[in-house]
This record gives sequence, structure tokens and C-alpha cells, in this order.
Amino acid sequence: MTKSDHELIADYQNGDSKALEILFERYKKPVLNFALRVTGNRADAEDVVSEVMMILLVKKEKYQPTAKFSTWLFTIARNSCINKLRKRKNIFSMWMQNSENGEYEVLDLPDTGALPDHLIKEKEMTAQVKKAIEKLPDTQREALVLREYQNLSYEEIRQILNCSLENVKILIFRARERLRQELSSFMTEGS
Amino acid sequence: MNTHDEFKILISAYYDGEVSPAEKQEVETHLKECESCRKYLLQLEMLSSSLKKWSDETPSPDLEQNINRLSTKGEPMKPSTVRITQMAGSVLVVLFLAVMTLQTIARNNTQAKIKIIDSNRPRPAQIALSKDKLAQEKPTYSVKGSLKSATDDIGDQYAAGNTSVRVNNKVQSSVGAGALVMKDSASTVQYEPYYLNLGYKVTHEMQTAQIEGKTEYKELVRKRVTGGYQSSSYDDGRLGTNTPYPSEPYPNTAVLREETYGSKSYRPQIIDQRWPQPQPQSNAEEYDRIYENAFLESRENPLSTFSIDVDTASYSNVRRFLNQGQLPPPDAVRIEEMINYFTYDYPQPQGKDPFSITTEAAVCPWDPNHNLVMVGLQGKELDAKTLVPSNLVFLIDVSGSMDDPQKLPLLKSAFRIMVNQLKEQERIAIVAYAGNAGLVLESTPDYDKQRILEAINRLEAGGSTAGGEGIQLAYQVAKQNFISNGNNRVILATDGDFNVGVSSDSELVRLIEEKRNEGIFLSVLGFGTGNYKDSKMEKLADKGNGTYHYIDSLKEGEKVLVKELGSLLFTIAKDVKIQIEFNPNQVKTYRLIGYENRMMAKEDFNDDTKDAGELGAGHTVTALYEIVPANSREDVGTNVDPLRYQLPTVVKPSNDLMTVKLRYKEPKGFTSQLITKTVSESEIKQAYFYNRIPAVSENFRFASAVAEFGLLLRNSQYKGNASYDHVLEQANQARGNDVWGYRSEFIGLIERAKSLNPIAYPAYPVPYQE
Repeated sequence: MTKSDHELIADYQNGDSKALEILFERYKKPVLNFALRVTGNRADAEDVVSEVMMILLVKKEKYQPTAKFSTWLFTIARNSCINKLRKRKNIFSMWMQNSENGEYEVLDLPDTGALPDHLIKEKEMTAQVKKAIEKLPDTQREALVLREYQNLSYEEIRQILNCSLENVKILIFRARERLRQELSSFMTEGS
Repeated sequence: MNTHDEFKILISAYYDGEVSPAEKQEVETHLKECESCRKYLLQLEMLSSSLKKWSDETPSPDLEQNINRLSTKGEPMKPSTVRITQMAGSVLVVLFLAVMTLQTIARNNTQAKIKIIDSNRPRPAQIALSKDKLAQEKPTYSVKGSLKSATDDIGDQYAAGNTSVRVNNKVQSSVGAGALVMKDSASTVQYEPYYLNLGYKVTHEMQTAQIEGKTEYKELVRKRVTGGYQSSSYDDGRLGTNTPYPSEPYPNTAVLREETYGSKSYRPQIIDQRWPQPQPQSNAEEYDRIYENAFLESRENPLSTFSIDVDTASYSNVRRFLNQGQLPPPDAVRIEEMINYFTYDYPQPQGKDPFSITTEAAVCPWDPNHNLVMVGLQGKELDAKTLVPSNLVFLIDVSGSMDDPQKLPLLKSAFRIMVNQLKEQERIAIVAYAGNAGLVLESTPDYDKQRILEAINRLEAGGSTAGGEGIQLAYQVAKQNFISNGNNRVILATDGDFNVGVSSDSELVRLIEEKRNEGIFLSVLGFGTGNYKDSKMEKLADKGNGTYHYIDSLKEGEKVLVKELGSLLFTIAKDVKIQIEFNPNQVKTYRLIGYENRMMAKEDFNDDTKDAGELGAGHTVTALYEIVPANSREDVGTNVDPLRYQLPTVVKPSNDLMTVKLRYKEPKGFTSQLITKTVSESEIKQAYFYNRIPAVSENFRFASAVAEFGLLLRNSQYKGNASYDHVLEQANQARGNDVWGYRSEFIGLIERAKSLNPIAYPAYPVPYQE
């Protein structure tokens, strides 16, 4: 039987370290991918995961069972991402952003020596998606990632972003509008 | 905001299922009426599915390790081993340099040297040399260090906070203070100073060795690439050339030079010019410059000696370029490797010799005044009855930590060589493991060598390391294909970083022992440095009744997988050398196509101590000579006064065109055997088809088409009348029954190359132009 997050965190708060291990295992990938998509940078994203896990480890008592565990975890992750982005914005100039986020992803393509054309195309499309998401304003991006990739409800997103429901709705809508334009080539290609 | 937009917001929420029942009703009625809104809803679906193109990624091994550490021990990794990115800021190469400086100060102010870029010497060779040298000393390549700020030790341009660092093309760190760790001998570090808006970035290639704890600075080469950053990892299967190359090959590369790199000032002098030197080899640090064999006069140089080459890397590399819509740089095209990529249908050897020699001569397809002679070797297909059949499962680590020139690409090259050596009755399966274990190639008989090679080529690194899971799958596959009287073996290739899967070492060992008793053995090949788990791997191989080898270079890989494992996995002849004597009566000049880096001195042919290429069972090797007949009026370009003290050599009259001599050693032998064969002038065929019936074998026609294609790609000065259309025609006619489609693929490549601008690269030599 798999235990729910609630049971696990309760176990852990009562001193069962095995429960923590399971939670880590359960959430390392979602958190990593959330952070990857929000920060657009693997190094930062991995930092975020470590930080989130660290907080979970050290400040377990901060969690109140009133909220969903995943919501709480994503809130921490989001804050950590914001810090990363802020730090980067202060230091990097525009070109840095470009080369770091844009070009890098394209360059990261593995050796395509034996790859058939359609796979190469696939990778190009992936790069395009990444770029479009990176271009979104931060909050829109967060909302969209939580909705589209993490499949969270508006209510959960509201808690994580700490804003009104109406706001979440509009953020997601605007993000979609932008992406629709950025990725218009995808939209027209067949159905 | 108009009502239409408001409706769109509502639809977006509706799409997410986040509307009240009343709103839902409203939207649904509206959708029935409004086509544009229906379309909008559809687009949201399409958007979601295109966003899915960015699929979930897996944590890197470092992160996994860190999480493990956190969950089991409740403490993070120590900063010294934490990946740099987890440190406060991150790193600058500047830091690295400064660190090096500090370290050199610490070491009695020893001056480390920056290699002077010598325009007369091709640099890759240099790098390879020092790497080899380092390998002999068995150092670990690692440079570590941290600095609080990046000062302008290097030049005031590189201020802290404005530089990012990539190691092997991965952003390791961005700004501020931190540490830089380079784990390998030829990591490439790029940093981008803030004044980059000038439009250029700087690349550092460095080689450092940490020997017994002391860091010794070996070599630093700086190079500037103008016009933006473009670089990617490149593996052509050879040691020493596995360095990244700028994909804007020629004009945009300039070189920074520096004489010495002392404890203090480091002020590189920028020599900026569109073409660094009159020589067109600004790309030389990435590819060995190929100096094409020239036409040699048979009277002066009657002997042509070379070692066989069974590599095929160049072809796949060329293919990669073409598939990317780019012509390969000329130096990436090694024609012999392209020719030998394909297998040819030569007769099986008779009698005791391990291989047969096939010769064929015809008019040269790209120059009707010349002739072309093909020399083909066919390795003996070993008699299956006398051999123990083998069932091999390669278990290959493709986790993120293997993503390093010294690991997966090296492994792939080494395995390619090994596969080429395999005899028939070998069954090969490949299991790859990273985050998950997967069967890359189901157990495949050896005669489908190309398919195995292709499977090896497909491997790429990424993800975490589920070593345990991989081992289980590998054993399962080995068991399914178990050969009761044969050699059943799992060959594990990894850097040893298991951290997921069968949890403990002891459990793993138990599994291996258990399988050993069932008759499946385990051999281990270790790769890379850094987080290399020597003891664990040694233990595994020991328990698995197998051998354990460490492979740090292709040479070592060849040694382990070919020479030493040869007794297990079959080489039929070693040190195979070919020497051809041309008859000046018939041949005015000749030129060996390809094999530039396999040429040997004529004395070496009979010298059994000289190493040469190995031939595997069933393997074919093909060489082509372009010949100018003796009666040709062509100017051979020798303008030497007649010798005063020597009589002109008397040539024995003969109708022979040439004599092919071949030396080889038995796999375990020390003395070489000689095989000779003569080719007569009368064998030269003047046409390829008589009345549409082929007069020239398919082997010859196809090999010459590949060679012609190579000449075109190299834009060789010897390409004569070669044209893509001609190659296409030739290759199409020589397609044969092409069971696996490799020849068809080749034809596709020709069409691709044809469609690309064929004048992308100037022919050698390029005159220096302002």
C-alpha cells in the first residue's frame, strides 16, 4: 500500500526518516522539472531541488496539514526559483540571458549523428517550446507551468502564487495567449 | 478588455475545468454558436500537446547523490564535492586561471607554460601527444579551486560578476565566487566576459594533471572565436581529436597567443585577423589536418607501404554533418574510413592464409586518362565448428556522468573496434542503463555487424545511474540467449557510479556470484576519472569470473578489447601491412587514396617489431590506388636535374602493373607471414559495362564511388572530373542487394551533399587574402 503524502509527512514529523526518503523520491522529479521550466536553467533547477529538500529536512515542523503537502512543497520551490531568477537578473545583462537560455538549449543537442530527421526536428521543436516558455513573464510562466505540466488546480496554484483565483485565471490565459503567438507554427500544423 | 477577450479567459478556464456550473453552461451554449471560439478551444488543446514536447527530465547523478545523502544521512554533501553550481555564486574560468596562478605560486613560483601556437605544427597532434604522455604517468585529471573574486589577473576585462563558465558546453556556473572543477584531461572551458557585446567569446582548452595531490599545469591553449559562441562536443572515434570544434569553421576563428603563463601577468596578445595564417588550417585544433597523398613517381618511389585501417568513424561523422545540413570540414573526411565503412563481397580465403587478396583494375571513374586499382582483403570467416560460440551482452552505462569525451564516446569507439573483431556465432545484445535500464539491441547475431554498430552509435548519455537494474536486465537477456557449451558473458562498461537499483554492493555481488554459477560471467571495463569506483568494479569482475580493464584512451581500448580480448573474441591476423611495388614500365605515377595517417616507411614492412592494424574474422579492408599509365603524356611535375654520379636505373621489362605484398602475424605469433600477388597490366578494364553487362565488379564500382564522393567532400585537388551526379549514378548501379540499406543511405547522403552548396569550402591550398 502506498501511503499518502499526508501520512508520510506525519510519519516523518514523528521521526520516521524512511518516510522522508520516500517523499524525496516522490517529489525530486516534479520539483526539478518545475524549477527547470521556471528558471530555464539546469544548474539553478538542481540547486532549487537541493534547497527544497534541505528545507523539508530541516524545517519539517513548518508544514501544517491544513494545506496539501505538494502545494507546500511547490511554494518553497517557487520561492527558491524566484530567488534564483532575481539573483540572475541583477547580475546578468541581456546578452547573458540570451546566450544562457536561448543558445544553450540549442547547443545542448546531443550528437545527432545517427538521428533520423524526424528526431532532429523533434528536438528543434522542443527547443522552440523552451524558448517560448522562457520568454513569458515570471508569474505567467509559474502559473502556466503549474497548470500545464504539474496539472495543479487553480486553487492550488492560487496558494502557491499567493494571489487571487481571478488572478490565476488571467495569468494562465495571458500565458496561453503569448504562447499561442510564439508557437503559432505548431498551431497551424495539422491538428 | 472587450467581451470577446473575457470570453476567451472563460474558455481558458473552461478548458482547465475551472468554471462554475453556470459559467460552464454559458460557455457551452456560446461554443455551439461561435466558430472562432471553438477554434480557440481547439488551439488550447494543441498548445498543451505542443508544450508536452518539453518532456520531463531526470535529475543528474550529482543531484541524485546529493538527495541520497540528504535523505539517508540528513546532511548535504560537503561543499568541496558539491557540484559547483551549488556553491554560492558560481565560477569563472578567470577564477580557474587565477587559481592556477595561486597554485603555481604555491609551487615555488613554477612557471606553467601556455603552449605557443606554432603555425608549423598541427595542434591536435600536440594535444594528443601530451595526453598520451600524461596517460602513461597515470595521473588523475582534476583541477579544483575557488576564489573570492575574479580580479584582473588575466586582463582587466574579466571582472567578477559578469562571466559565465561552461565546462564541456554545460553551464557549470555563472557568476561571482565559486569553484571550478574540471575532471578531465581535455575539458573545454568557455567563458563569456561581459564585454561580449563586442561580439566574441573566448574558449579555453586546458590540460592539467593532478599528480599525487599536486596540481601541475600542463598546457593551456586559448582561442578566440569571433562571431558568437558555437561549439559542440565532437567525437570522431580517435583520441586526441575529441575536442570541440567551432561549427563556423573557417574565417571566424582567430587565435589568441601567449608566450608564458607566469605567476602574475597574463596579457594575451590578440592577433586578430580573419584568416589566422596563410594556411587554411585554423580548424586544425579540431581535426588532424589531412595532407593528401600526392602522386609519386614509380621510378623514384616504387614502394608504397601502409598499415590497414579498420576504422569507420569518419563516415558516420560525415553523415552526421550532412544530416545536419552542413558539409563536413574537409579534414573530417578520411576517405579510407568511408570506403571501409561498407562491407564488400570478396572471395573467402583458401588454404592456410587467414585472408584473401582481391585486386581489380579499371579506368579511373573521375579521370579517364588514369587507372584505378583496388586492393581488397577479406578476412577468413572462421570455421564455426572449431570455435566456442559466444553470447555477449554489453551493459553500457549511459548516465549523465558518462557524458564526457573520455567516457561514452571513447567507449563507443572502443566497442566499435571490438565489434569489428567479432567472429561469427557471436550473439550480441546491448543493454543501456541510465535512469532506467533498457534493451538497446536485442541479442543479434554477429553477421549483422552493421546493426550492432548502429546500435552502439545511437547511445547517448543522460540521466541517472540505475546500475543494478541494468545488471539484472543484462543477465536476463544473457540467460534468454544462453549457449550451453559456449561463452556466455556480460560485459559491463561504466564509470562505476551506481546509485540506484539493486541497493547495496553486497546484494550486487550476490547476484553476480549466483549468475556465475549459472554460467554467465561478467567482465568489467572502466572508463573515466573523477567519481570512478575502482574497487567496486574490480570486485564485481572478480566475483563474476571475468576480467577487469580500465580504459583511458582509445589505444588502451584497442589493446584491451582487441589485442588482449582477442583470444576470447577473435582477431585472425595482427600487424597487417601492405606494401605495393609499382612497375615503372607500366606506371608513371601513383597515388594512394586515403590512409594518410597509416603510411609507413618502406623499411617498416619487413620489420616485425613495427605495429600495424588488426584484422578481424570476416572483416574486409579496401584500398584504392590512382595510377597514371607510363605512356601518359601528363607532366608528372618532377623537375630534377639528372643525377651525375648514378646511372639511371634499369627497369626489368615486365607487363606487371604492380606486386602486392602483404605481411601479417598470427594472432599469437611474433613473426610475420608474407603473401604476394601480382597484377598485370592486361587486367585493366577500359569500360565498366560492355553491352550493359558489368565488366567491373560491384565492389570496385561501389568503392570507387565512395572514394569519389570523399574527394568531392574534401574538395581534393585530385578530384579531376568528379561530380556528385557521377557519384550518384555509379553508386546507384552498384547498390547490390543492400540488405541493411547502408548503400541506399549512402545514396541519400550524396543527394544531400549535392543539394548543399558545394563551394562552401575553398580548395586547398587557399591563397591568403586580405
